[in-house]
Formats: sequence, C-alpha cells, structure tokens
Amino acid sequence: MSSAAFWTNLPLALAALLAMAGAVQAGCAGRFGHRLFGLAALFLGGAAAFALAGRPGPGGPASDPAGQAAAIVVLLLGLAVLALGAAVAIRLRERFGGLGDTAALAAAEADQA
Amino acid sequence: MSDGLALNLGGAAAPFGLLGLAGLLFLLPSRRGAGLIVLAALAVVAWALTMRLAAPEAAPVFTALGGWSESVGGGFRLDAYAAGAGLILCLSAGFSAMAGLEERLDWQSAPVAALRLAWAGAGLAALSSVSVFSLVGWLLVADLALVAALALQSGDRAALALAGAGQLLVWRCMAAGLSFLGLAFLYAAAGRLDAVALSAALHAAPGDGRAAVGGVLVLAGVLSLAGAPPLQAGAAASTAAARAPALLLLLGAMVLGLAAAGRVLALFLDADREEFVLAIALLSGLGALWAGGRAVFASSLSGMAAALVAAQLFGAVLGLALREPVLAIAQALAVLVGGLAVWLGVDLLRRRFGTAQLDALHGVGRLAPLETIVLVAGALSLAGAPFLFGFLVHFELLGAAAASRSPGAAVLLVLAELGCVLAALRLTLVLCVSPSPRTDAPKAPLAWATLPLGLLAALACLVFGLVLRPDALAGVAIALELRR
Repeated sequence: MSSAAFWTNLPLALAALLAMAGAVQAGCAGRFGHRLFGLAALFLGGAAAFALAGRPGPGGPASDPAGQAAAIVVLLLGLAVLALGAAVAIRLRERFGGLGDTAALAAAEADQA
Repeated sequence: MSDGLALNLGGAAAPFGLLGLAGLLFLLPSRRGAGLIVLAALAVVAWALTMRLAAPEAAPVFTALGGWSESVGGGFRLDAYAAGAGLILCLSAGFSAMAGLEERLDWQSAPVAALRLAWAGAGLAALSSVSVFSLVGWLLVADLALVAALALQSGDRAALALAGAGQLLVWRCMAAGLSFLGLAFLYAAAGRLDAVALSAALHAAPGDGRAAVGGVLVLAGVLSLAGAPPLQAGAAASTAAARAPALLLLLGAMVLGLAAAGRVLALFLDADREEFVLAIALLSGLGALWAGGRAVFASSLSGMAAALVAAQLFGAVLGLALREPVLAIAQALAVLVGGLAVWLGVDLLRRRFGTAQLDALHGVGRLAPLETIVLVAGALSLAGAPFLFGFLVHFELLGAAAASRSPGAAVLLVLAELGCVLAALRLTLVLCVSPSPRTDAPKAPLAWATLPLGLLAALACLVFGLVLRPDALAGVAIALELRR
C-alpha cells in the first residue's frame, strides 16, 4: 500500500477500531449496562466510518451526500438502540436490583422454572 | 449462475419472509380463525388461477408457492408476496384457532399488537428493499419493535421476557452494527449501496482490500443475524410466553433473519469472488461448530433446541456457499419442520412438568410419552438421524462440503454435526432411558390443543425422511436449471 493510500484509509481504520472495540465490549461485558456502552461505540464507529468513506473518483471525494446521509441514519438508529436499551436497563434494575448481570438472570430463570 | 441463484433465493425467501404478516393475526380474535382460513384459502386459489391465466407455462404448484417466481432487479414480484401471505395466513390462522389465543390476554394488548404490526411491516420492508443498507436498517427496526414488545410483557413470565429482550437487543444490534461497519468499507471501495450495483462493482474491482475487509465484516454480521434469532429470540420468546403466539413470533424472527441473510449472501455469491465464497463457508462452519457445542452442553431444553436449530441454519448457509441452492433450500425446510417439532415438544413438556431444565426431566418419557416423541423426533431429525427428514440433506451436504475447495469448512461442519448428534442422543437418553424419573408426577394435564400439531410435525419429519430420495433433489435441481 502506498503512503498516500495508507493516510487516506487511516481515519476509516480508526473508526473501524472504535467500532470493533465496541463490538467486543458489547459481546463480552458481564452486565447489561456495560454492554450498552459497547453498542454505543459500535454504532458511533459505524457512523464515523460512513462519514469518512468518501468515494474515490476522477474528481476526488468532493461531496458525498449518500455517505453522509448513511452516517446520519446509523447515528439515529444508534440513538434509538440506546434509548430502548436504557428503558430495558431501567426495568431490569427495578426487577433484579442491578443492571442485569448474567448470574442474576440465571437465578431469576431458575426461580421462574 | 449468478442471476439464477439470486432469483431463486429471492423467490424462495419471499413467502417465508411473509411469516411476519402472521403477526397481523394476533390483532384478531381467535374465534375468527376458521373464517380466516376460508378467506385466505380463497385468496390463494384466486391468485393461483390468475397466475395460471397470466403465465400458463409456469408450473402451478411452484408459482402458487411463490418460490420460483421471477424477480426483477433485486426486488421481488408482488404476486409472490401475495401467495406467500395467503399461505402463511392459512397456517397461522389454523394454528391460532387451535391453540386458543384468547387465553393470552397480555399478548392482545394494544401496544404489544401495534409493535407486532411494526415488526411485520419493518420485516417486509427489509426483505423488499433494494439497498443493502436499508435492508439492514429495516431489520434493526424490526428487531427493536420485537425487543419493545418483549419488554412490555406482563404476567407471570414478564421477568423472563425482559431478560430475553435484553439479550435480543444486544445480539441483534451487534450484528446490525457490524453489518453497518462492513457496509461503510464496501461503500468506500465500490461507491454504491444498492444490491445489484454493489454486486457488480465488487465483481469489477477485485483486489481492493477495503472490499475484502468490508465483505468479511458484513458476512460476519449477516451470519450472526441468521444464527441469533433462534438462539436469542428463541430462548426469550418461548420462555416468555410458552404459547402459540410466541412460537409463531419465534419462527417469524428466525425466518426473517434467515431470509435477509440469504439476500445479502446471494449478493456476495453473485459478485463471484473467491475470497467471499471461502469466507462464507468458513464463517458458517464456525457458526455451526459454535452452535453445535452449545447444544451439547445446554442445561435447558429450550437452549438445546435453539442451538440445534442455529447449527442447522448455519448448515443451510454453508449449502449456499457451496453453490448448492437446492440443498440449502431443502435444509431450510428440514430445519423449519424439525424446529417446529422440537419447540412444540419443549413447550408441551414445559407446560406439563412446569420446567424445561434437563436435570429435572430425567426419565419423563414414561410419564409423558406423546410429548417426548414429538421432541425426540424433531431433535433426531435436526441431527440427521437415518429415516428422518434431515438425513438425506445432511448426507448430500456433507458430500458437497467434502468435494468443495474449502476443506476447513467441511471439517467444521462434520464437527458441528457430531455435536448435534451428541446433543440429540443426550436428550434421548435423559428423557427416555434414564432409569428413574426424578419428577414425581405431571403438574398439568396433557395439552390436547397443541399436541396434534406437534404430532403432525413429528410425523412430517418421518414421512419426509421416508419419501425423500436423492433423485427428488436431483429433479428439483433440474427444474431449477430449466427455469434459468
């Protein structure tokens, strides 16, 4: 990869790094609230990647309305996910007294069964 | 290959995706179920007659199923949807009339019904969208509606529904987020997001690292979408309200995720780039292995059922990667029939004994033989036991994987199949061969309303296993070639 291509793709790679770190956090965190932080990072990284994914072409990526619109949509969807996740987290807290860690949920399932 | 595969996948996905419309039925009182059956049957007959007049050369059975209708430019014909909707309405109306929806008043509440309607609409929009971006977006909206419906549940199982909503939110949003990230990379490489143009751009621009990274990310996200519904929605919905609406919702979520995944996978297969095909094969093999492992070590019946179905769904995806659409469709059908039997069996046993924990159900086969037969027949069919529906498809799929250029995927598939077989054997041993029942007596009477459907599904596993022969699959393959 040439030096110019490397620097062109670096912002995209950084956005992807943020998103992947968020995905790992969302998948591995023990508590539901902590997983929500991971989801926020994942969607933020995805939106940033769309915003930075300017199209290469003969005239260069002067304006990229489709990419910007996609970035905004991803951001809005991320906000919706967080809002719904927060609502679920609040109800989990009311019911289980915590942010839904897996041990509490397993105990609840055993009680229910 | 490319056009034919995309067309067949699209056509086959259309009626299954319309399971979402079954959600509409929950808005109606179940006593109208019989009337709905008649209306929907009339609609299907009228549609089939119209198609027969409009396209006399088309085979009426296939066109009535909507499975092999033509599609144009990545979108699907409306008549395929109409046919699929009619069929699904028939099935679900009968289902709901049989199971007595009026017993579940909390599922009939207005907010939950509206959310189910939103879920159905978003699912339909996802399957019919031309852009891959909007497909993933609509799918996420559908999932959010499902999560909200689960979180709003009231009644004795509300806590489990809430926990299931949390799990569903995390896993489906992770899959959607990864897909968005991959799509951003693909957009950077190809400058397009609509399905057909993106596929062509990927085909025309080989060697772009961003396309490869984006492709693998999208594939990982989409395969998670295919595997997550049975694992998460399955566990959530079936424990939240172990009733027919939950089972329908579960099947709908499963089929919606699978159909959406099939659409995106067809796009990558049409791009005809070797690295994508290998990535699909290896990722689906890994997914199958993971789900097979979960099935072996599951502690509850519902967890084992969900893992078994997920492993087999990954097998269907592997069939696509191996360019065997007939095998993939046959496998998907086997999963639907076997999955229905398994979930109905789990539901029946849970209602009878009040628990789905495997440890508490040792030897219950003697106390509840009919329910156990439904569950064990479904599990063995999913695992590919001889003389059952899954056997022939597994046999052919393993042969295709062994003869393919991705031996790693074949090895992973064999390991996953081994896991499924071990899980099904463990289930059979625990339920039937265990020396003494640990449960004293059933806590509830036999569920006569749901039992016939379960026995029917188990019988279908056996009948399809006895009737289906390799030449039948070959005949379907020839029919596919002819229609291309």
